[in-house]
Amino acid sequence: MATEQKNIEQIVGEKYRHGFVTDIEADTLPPGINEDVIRFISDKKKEPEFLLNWRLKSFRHWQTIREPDWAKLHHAPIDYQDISYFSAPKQAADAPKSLDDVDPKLLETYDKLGIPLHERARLAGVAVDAVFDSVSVATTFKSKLAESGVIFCPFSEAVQEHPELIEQYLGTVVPYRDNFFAALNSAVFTDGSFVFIPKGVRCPMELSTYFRINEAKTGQFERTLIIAEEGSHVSYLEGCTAPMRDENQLHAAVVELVALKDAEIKYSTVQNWYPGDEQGRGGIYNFVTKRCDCRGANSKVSWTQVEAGSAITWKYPSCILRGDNSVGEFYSVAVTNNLQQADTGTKMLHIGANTRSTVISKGISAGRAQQSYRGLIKIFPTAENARNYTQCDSLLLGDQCGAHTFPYMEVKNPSAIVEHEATTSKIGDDQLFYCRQRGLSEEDAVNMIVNGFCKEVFRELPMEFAVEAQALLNVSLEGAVG
Amino acid sequence: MAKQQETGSFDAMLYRQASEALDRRFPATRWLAPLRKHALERLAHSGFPTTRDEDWRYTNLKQVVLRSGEFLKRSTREKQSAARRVAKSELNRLLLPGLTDITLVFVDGVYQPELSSSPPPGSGMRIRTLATVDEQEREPLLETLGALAGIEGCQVTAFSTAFLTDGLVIDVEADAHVPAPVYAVFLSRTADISTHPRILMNLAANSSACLIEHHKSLHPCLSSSITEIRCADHARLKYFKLQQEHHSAFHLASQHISLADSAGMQAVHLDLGSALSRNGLNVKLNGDHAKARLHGLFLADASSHVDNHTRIDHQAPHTRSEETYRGVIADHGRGVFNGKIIVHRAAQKTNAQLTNANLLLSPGAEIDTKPELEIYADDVKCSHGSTVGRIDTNALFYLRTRGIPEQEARRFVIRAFGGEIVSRIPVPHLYRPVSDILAARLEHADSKPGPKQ
Amino acid sequence: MKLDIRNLHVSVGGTEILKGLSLEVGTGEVHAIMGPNGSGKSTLAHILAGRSGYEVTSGTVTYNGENLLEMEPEQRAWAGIFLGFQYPIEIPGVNNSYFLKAALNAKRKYLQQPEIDAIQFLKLVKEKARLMKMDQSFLNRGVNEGFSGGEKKRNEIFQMSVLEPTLAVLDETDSGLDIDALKTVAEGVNRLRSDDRAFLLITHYQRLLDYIQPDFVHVLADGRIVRTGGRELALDLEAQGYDWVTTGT
Repeated sequence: MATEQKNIEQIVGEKYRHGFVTDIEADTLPPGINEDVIRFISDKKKEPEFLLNWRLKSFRHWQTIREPDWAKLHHAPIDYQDISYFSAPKQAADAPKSLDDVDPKLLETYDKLGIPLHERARLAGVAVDAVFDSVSVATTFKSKLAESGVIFCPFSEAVQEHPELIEQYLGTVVPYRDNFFAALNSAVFTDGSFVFIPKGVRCPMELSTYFRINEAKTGQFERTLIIAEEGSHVSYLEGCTAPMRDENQLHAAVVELVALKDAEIKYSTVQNWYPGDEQGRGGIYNFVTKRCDCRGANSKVSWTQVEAGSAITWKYPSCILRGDNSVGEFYSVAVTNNLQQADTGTKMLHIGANTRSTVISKGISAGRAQQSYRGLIKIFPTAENARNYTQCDSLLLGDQCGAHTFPYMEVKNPSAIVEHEATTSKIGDDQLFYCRQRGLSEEDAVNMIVNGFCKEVFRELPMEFAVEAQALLNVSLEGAVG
Repeated sequence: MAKQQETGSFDAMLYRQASEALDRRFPATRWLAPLRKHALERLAHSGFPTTRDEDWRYTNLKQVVLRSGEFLKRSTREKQSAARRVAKSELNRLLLPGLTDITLVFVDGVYQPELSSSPPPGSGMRIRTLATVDEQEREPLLETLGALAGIEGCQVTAFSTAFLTDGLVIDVEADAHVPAPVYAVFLSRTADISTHPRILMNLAANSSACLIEHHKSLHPCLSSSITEIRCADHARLKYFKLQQEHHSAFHLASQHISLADSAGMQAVHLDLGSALSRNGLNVKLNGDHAKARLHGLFLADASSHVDNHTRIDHQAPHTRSEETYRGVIADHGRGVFNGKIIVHRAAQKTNAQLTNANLLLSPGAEIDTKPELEIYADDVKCSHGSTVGRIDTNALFYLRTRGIPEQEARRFVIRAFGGEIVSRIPVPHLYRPVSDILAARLEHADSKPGPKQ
Repeated sequence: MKLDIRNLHVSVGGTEILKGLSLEVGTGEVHAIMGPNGSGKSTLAHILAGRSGYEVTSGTVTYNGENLLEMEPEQRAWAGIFLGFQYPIEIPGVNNSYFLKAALNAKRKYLQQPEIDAIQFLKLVKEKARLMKMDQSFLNRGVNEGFSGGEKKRNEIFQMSVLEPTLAVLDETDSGLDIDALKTVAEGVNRLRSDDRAFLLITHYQRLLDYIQPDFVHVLADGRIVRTGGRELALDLEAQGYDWVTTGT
């Protein structure tokens, strides 16, 4: 038992592998937020008036509300006037047309992260829209996508090229009034991704974006909008990792997905931002609002996330199941270690008839970390024959961590069937002994058991992501388990 | 926000007058005045909870608070002695059968010695009312009352305590095993009054006893009760609560039970009445190897609102809890269930299980359920499950193929659903009468069935 | 291979289970340990494999001259000790073949042999699975996850055949098996019998010994070996029950 404890600490103690800072000069706005800052951002991005007005409305609303305090999270107050709301690499003015034009230093950064962009793009046929410090600097495979009518570009570019689509859809899934962080994002977002899949099109490749936060004290406010028209299909991958810095960095992204009739969106995330050190110093505050509106009948959305990084994660990818027969899925693995905190889960709002949702959440807590699953299943009176199945399992590694489960079920239709199951346990001594009897080291045994525990979620990830996710899990718990 | 706060505030002047009037009306318990005063101050400070409080998110006390002033006024003013004069025959119709050995009857909040029977001397059990305790017992009681319930934390507890006039103090001696259940009846026969039943029970080491609480009202009224029970090492408690308030009555109750080393309890809750009820069952497993088994069944029909909150604190190693609650919701009824399990850091080797199953019978019915796990120890096995569904159509179909008409088949299935909980009542001879009460209630509830399935 | 247990005393939670057990097992030998419930049979198996929760109060266990009691469970596995569990453990989500490959490679690494490549491994496990009459689909299922009792036991023998131990301790591998499964399991064991491998069969019934002929039969009672003999001892036990040995008459 004593050796087991020690090994857990060793594995938990694995240093963050992706900690480093890229040295690129940035065009950074001094800290602080006011209407002038918002006008500056909007002006810098040459935005149409409707967007500026929307940002201002968001800002004014944001000033009237307060940070939410219901999550089981504790952190020092965030000084929103101490954050810089705009930074862009100097080269932004003449953005590179292809990977060859990209600052070699940036490419080196990706290399260090183990993301060989070239290879990845070429070999795996993945288009990569790399957001580096708020401004997109590389977009590939655009032409191939254009052939099928798919638009995949930086958000700011979409604002210039397709303002009508932005005006039609922006804020319709996550209104700026939705919550504190969504309001803030709506006011100051700098860039993100835009995807449009036209009617009947099956996107020919997985779409992928790597987000990075680089400037110290720079808030990152991405805005992603994906529109899947009738009968279309898209799989979108998002992965992130960040350099080691001492100061807390705020990240408040908003992701809006719209699925029209018969459309299907698969959204996968691997999140590995800097979690802070063993004492809980530094690390990213990750406050994200992600939501899909299944507007059309038979539409389907699937959220898959592997959350391993960040000091604080506040994230509830949700589905509004409005269309009859629409389907929402949420598959999540969250790992917290040292002093990390995560309050994450999902909301499934069943409005249409015969809507179905599945929630599979796997939480692993180690060190002194605290983790909560928070979910809402709401069945509206209109949702005849709605179905939900939720399963939340927590695994505890070490006696100083916590795992909590807060599922809300609100059912207003007697034909609905809603089922929730949750378990919390540690890795069984008998499982460990069995593996060791077969010759596996304690650490390997734990990794294997933990990966097995997460299998139902990993198998939902696209292949290359699944491999990365498993590796990430092992790294996060290396020295930690056993 | 301003509007929300309104529901939490109350007519402080009226409350104070009512509380002070108790000193004059109930001189035998004037010694409780400091406790009442303190509680009222707490309440004045915090106000009633609103739906902005996470613990009260689904239960709005606005109506209760609104009418409470009037109820309090009536309770403190009226000469109710006539109303309290209940014939034994009438009482027998209202009470559960076969529980005459130890019966404690309160009518309209006032203890009725002539309708009650105490445990015989030598039984190892002693029962007094707050009005009749020895003078030297008063001071310690002022400390003990509310010590488990903690008025600081809960506004409803403060409310009940602010108007406390009488209650039961039950002591079970070490090693005593009292086979006869203690049957505590809280009957309200007068309309529009507010009563505040109170029980304080102590089970000394290695003793065992059974407590039955029966709350019944014949008219709209408010009842707000608090029960505190301490079980010392190896003590065994059986507990059954039957709530049959009038369909327009309000019922706000809580039980607070602590268990020392190797102590054990079994509890069954049945909520069959009231327009709005909220029951908070709080169990603290403070001693190693303490065990709790909780069962509950709640029924919400017409436009009633039934809220059950349970909280189990595992504070010590090797503690176990098992909990099963079931809800039947019909018409425009609304059921709320919140089952919280907290495993504290010291509580290694804990085993905790909770299940909540709910049946929705009609289109306007609603259930809000939230099982919660908060776990701070790693060597534990905890699980919870919650389901919401309609009547099993396969079961219905099966019964109908055997020639049972649909309506009857429905009743069959619903009764079986509730019967599972009734069968857990720790007093065997009560299965039959309680099953009958339940069947009658369920039949009434399901008289307007939902859409054809 | 040489296992030498001398005057072993083992307690669990303050209660003494093994009370001076001595046993020598040489290479190529098959020993059956029989005894009534609660005699300490499973404790012996667990002690040999290094399960925690047991306290050795006195006595020694040497394996090939080394102090076995000081070794970690995985070190014992690398040294060739295999325990067939009485109740094989389920490991949800971890696929059987992945598990076995990891186990095999851990041992090879210890022996400073190169890791087995995927194709070789697949060939190996398919062949072994066929011999154990196991459907190959089980290779992709979770370790023992949702397996029937018989499947689990067969899986143990299958794993043993892949890992090729030098000392196999089979703890009640026969319990809960129907006659066909018992035969398959016994065949699996018999196939592995060789001069450089020893077996310790722990069983309550002599039924297993109809199919696996032991060289020695020991009767374990009240924490000690009270009688040792040949195969005929098992038959006597079958005929007369344990009482006649345990009461010492």
